[in-house]
Amino acid sequence: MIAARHISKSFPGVLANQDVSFDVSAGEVHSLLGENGAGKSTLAAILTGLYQPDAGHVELNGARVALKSPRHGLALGIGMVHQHFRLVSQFTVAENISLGDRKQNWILSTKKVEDAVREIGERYGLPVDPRARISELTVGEQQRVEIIKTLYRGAQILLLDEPTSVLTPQEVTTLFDSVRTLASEGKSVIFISHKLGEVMDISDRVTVMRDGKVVGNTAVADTSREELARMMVGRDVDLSAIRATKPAGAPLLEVRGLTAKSARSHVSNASIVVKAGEIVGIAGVSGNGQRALAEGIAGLTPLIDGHVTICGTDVTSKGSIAARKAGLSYVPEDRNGTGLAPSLSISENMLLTEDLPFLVNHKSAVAKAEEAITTYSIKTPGASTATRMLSGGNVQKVLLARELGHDPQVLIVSSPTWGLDVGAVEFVRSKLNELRSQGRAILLISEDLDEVRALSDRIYVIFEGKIVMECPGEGADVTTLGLAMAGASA
Amino acid sequence: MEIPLKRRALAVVAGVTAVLLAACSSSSSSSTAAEEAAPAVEKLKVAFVYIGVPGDAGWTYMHDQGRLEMEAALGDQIETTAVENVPEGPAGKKTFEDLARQGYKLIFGTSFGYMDPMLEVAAAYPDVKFMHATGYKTAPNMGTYFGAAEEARFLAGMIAASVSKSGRLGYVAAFPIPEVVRGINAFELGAQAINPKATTKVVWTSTWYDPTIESKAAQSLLNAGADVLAQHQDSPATGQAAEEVGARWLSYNSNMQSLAPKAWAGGPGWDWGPFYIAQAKAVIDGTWKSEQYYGNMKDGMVKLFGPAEDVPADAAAAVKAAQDAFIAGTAAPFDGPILDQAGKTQVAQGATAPMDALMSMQYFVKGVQGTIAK
Amino acid sequence: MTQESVLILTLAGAIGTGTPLVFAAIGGVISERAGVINLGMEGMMLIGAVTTFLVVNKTGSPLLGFIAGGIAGALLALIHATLAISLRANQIVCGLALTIFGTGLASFIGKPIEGAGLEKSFSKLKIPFLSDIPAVGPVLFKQDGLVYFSWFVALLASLYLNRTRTGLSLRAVGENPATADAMGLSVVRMRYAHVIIGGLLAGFGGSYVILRIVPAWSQAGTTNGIGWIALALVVFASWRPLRVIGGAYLFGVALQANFALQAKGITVIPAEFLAMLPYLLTVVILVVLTANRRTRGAGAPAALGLPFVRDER
Repeated sequence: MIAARHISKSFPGVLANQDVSFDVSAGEVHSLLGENGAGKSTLAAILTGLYQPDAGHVELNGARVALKSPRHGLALGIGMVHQHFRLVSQFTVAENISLGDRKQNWILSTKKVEDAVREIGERYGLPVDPRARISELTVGEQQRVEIIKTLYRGAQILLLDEPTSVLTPQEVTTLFDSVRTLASEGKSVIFISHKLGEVMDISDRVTVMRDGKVVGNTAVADTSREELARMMVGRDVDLSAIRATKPAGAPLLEVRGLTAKSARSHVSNASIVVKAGEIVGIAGVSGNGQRALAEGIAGLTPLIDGHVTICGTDVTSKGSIAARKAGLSYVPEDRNGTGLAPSLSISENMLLTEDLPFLVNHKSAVAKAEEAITTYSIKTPGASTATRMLSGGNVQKVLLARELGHDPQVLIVSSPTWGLDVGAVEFVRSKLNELRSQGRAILLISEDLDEVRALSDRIYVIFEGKIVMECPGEGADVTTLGLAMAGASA
Repeated sequence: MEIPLKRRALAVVAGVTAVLLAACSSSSSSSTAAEEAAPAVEKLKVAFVYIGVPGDAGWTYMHDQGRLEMEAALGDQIETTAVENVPEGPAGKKTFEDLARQGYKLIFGTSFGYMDPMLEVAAAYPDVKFMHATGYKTAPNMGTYFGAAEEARFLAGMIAASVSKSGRLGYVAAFPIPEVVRGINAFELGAQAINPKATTKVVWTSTWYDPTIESKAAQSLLNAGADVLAQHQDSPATGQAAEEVGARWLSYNSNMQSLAPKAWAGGPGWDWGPFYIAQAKAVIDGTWKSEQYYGNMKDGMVKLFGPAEDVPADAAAAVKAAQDAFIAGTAAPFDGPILDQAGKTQVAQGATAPMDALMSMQYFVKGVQGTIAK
Repeated sequence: MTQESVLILTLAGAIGTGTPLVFAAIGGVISERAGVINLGMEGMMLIGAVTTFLVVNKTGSPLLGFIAGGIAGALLALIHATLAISLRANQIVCGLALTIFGTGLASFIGKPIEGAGLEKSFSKLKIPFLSDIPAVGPVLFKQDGLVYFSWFVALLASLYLNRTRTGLSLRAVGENPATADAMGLSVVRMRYAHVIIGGLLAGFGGSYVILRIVPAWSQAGTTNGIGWIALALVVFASWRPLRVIGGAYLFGVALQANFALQAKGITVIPAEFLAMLPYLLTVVILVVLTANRRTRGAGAPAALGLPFVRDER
């Protein structure tokens, strides 16, 4: 139905796509798999008309087309659902769908649009109230609106860009059902993802990209997770579950009845224990109080109520320095910002949490940074490079190198692998596992349920600021966890 | 890309502002030409400091008319400038200092609030003559000037009563200061001279020029039954409101007949020209001395515009007679007996209110409806 | 004099007072709904006022004067649009600069007409039958043509914003320009058009002051800050054109309440306090209205004041 033929596209300094070809037929769910920076997004942009290829061309139903703009692409039936939704949150669903629609009369008749939304919703299993405001909808529902929007415009080919990154497991299941219905109705779905499990689950065929090139194209039935991972990364990777091999020791982090507020996050009456040699996962959809919990423990936000004990020292409301002295390290989600000062160099950032003498010895700091660059294989022009110039994975490595340099007894990591490519994910995971074997206590806060399940010895589920569930990591059931994350009382 | 763009925008904003400032300053001072032509005799430099702009068609406008008359009369003997929109109080002081430093030898300040700053600057520049309108403080080189507007106000009251059907007059008042109170009382006394039962209802706007507010004040008087309005502010909004409903109007300051031709029945006003000319001449001749000048209809500083043509002939004749009596000095607006609102005698039969009583007047005469805020 | 009651006269008068605010504030609503704050409104009103005066006295046509006043306001708004949209200058700064510039320019071109009178204007138009309705008739239907026009403008603006395709696009541009851009709408073109329409309406507001409230020109005194009240009204009316009408007339009533009380001889409250009452009352009532969840509007456009930069990589 749609095909890319020998497409190349370069940006200053980057060859984003190099002789890329692939075919998607009608009724097929075709995944584009690859790490960040593999060239998936560029290819998607070319297929939708946002970019024009330097060489090669796009074929639609066998005929060569030159897509001038996304609007042009959509007119030809190619629609894209972006990772960041293109919705006006103050508008209703119907208004969003009418926006920029030239078929509409000058005098709007939302009635027609509302009927169409309902009809499309029923047909493809995408139920949504056309009169609801976007701001009142869940993220999953908003995504539905995006899909309906492209379908309403007559899309025959849908590109979904990392569509599951914002969804709960239940929402993922619903989305996949809709995707299958769409395919069964003869539409083509291009599913862009770096998550192996989902790709295996939903696709008919997979095209794997690495460094701007297609490195594999296969039917899902003929391949395995391991093989896909190898294609993606270019070597063997192990992302299987790892648990503690030794029984856990004494509690190093004890949180009792913690109530705190931070930015737009709040947590109430949370009690958590993390023992030596244990990774404890906090699962939950983003924005359910994770940040307040982490910052409350780390002493970055004052506690409204509750107690925090680190390695036997009571650090309740004593501030971040006390918590640090008691043996805590915190790797926040917001790396360049809370974690690092983006315009400072790597070596300067390494110094930030040190007890510094009045005069800073830059030489030794640089030496230390260079050591970290080697041990953590940080890709950077040098120790004096500002951290905002680094890629996500390398920023995370700098942060980890600094925090682990203190040899913490207790480590809080928040979404440690978010946005990292598979290779970096593997590195971070092995590092966390290494710390666990050394008898440290690790609190892993992550929205990525797979990650939480793969690493944690015990799992807490957080929902609307409350710990709503606790279970062992081994054999934790996705459905049960997912329901708890969505607030359904178990 | 973004930073230079912003800079560019800022530069444009700055440019626009500069152009406007240039426009403002060029409009705010108009010096007579031929400054370069070296005169044989040194010209007297005369400065006028205005609270507002001549465009108010009112108070400042009339002063500026006076300035122009002076230029026309004295030609190249003098050179004048006018500084507009000068705030009262300490902020105004700098303007007076600057003018004195620039060699202006005669400086007129036309607002009450200039009094103290002028006094300070006068002490520092003894060779500069200062004249302050509406004030009461003097120095060897600083005098005051004002005029008996009450004479014209009285006549306006007579006109008002003669064109009123109901005898209910309205007065759109500015601020409760003696000057305004005096005007209201004179107006009511004049009205009573024609119709002893005439009353004047007063509302205060706390403005000198705000058309929106003054038109509302006028409307509320009209709604309350007044059929003739007088005003103390500079804007003709009161006239517009009266014209709108077919009521009559007595303007103030300048001849405002053209602004509401059907409503206009007359109005008190000023002619500062003769006084300004005399002052400049006195400085040139070296005969100037500090005084508290109080002009009137006799010397022409105070004027009555009108009455309008449709004012009944007998009333017009009565107005003329009263005006003649004021000029002749055989009568004054505040001749007794005058009772205040409470019925207390303020000026006895056969007496006339003395100057200091006029200058500090803080009561309404009988027939005025309203109160003076303390 | 008519035999109408004071209340009816007060309400009828409030409509006249509110009309410049209706024009200007709806202009503000339209501009702000597109995401551009217009702090130059006072300047645009003054330019509108002086232009109207000049054109009326030149041509003898109040209608031409009114139109010209609007166009003058629109031209000034074009400068604002260029600075704020194309050059992405700070909207607050260039809006303020424009008020200062507009005031200066207006007094510059108004120099020759200082003290002169307006030669011709509109008068009231009784609408047959409707004006005979007791109470409502004399309040609403014995006004001048421009008042009726202002209602038409408000209604049109409301329908335009809420019921048309372009109105929807306009709101999207003000709420989320990136999305609007992604949907193929030209954010820049939409913003230009609506800032200019906003200026046109502010110019109309200034025209109305000259034509119907004060028939003479006096620099800043003519509007004396109405532009700022209109700007506040935009906020308190929750960016809704029809609510603007209510707010503007409320202000008119409150302004008159001060003098009605004085005229009635009620002087317990000092006049100076009463003088600030209209502002206070209008703000309080509208805030209460806005605080109420049921009557609250959509609130400020999310992208208000933010220049639009397309996110390219």
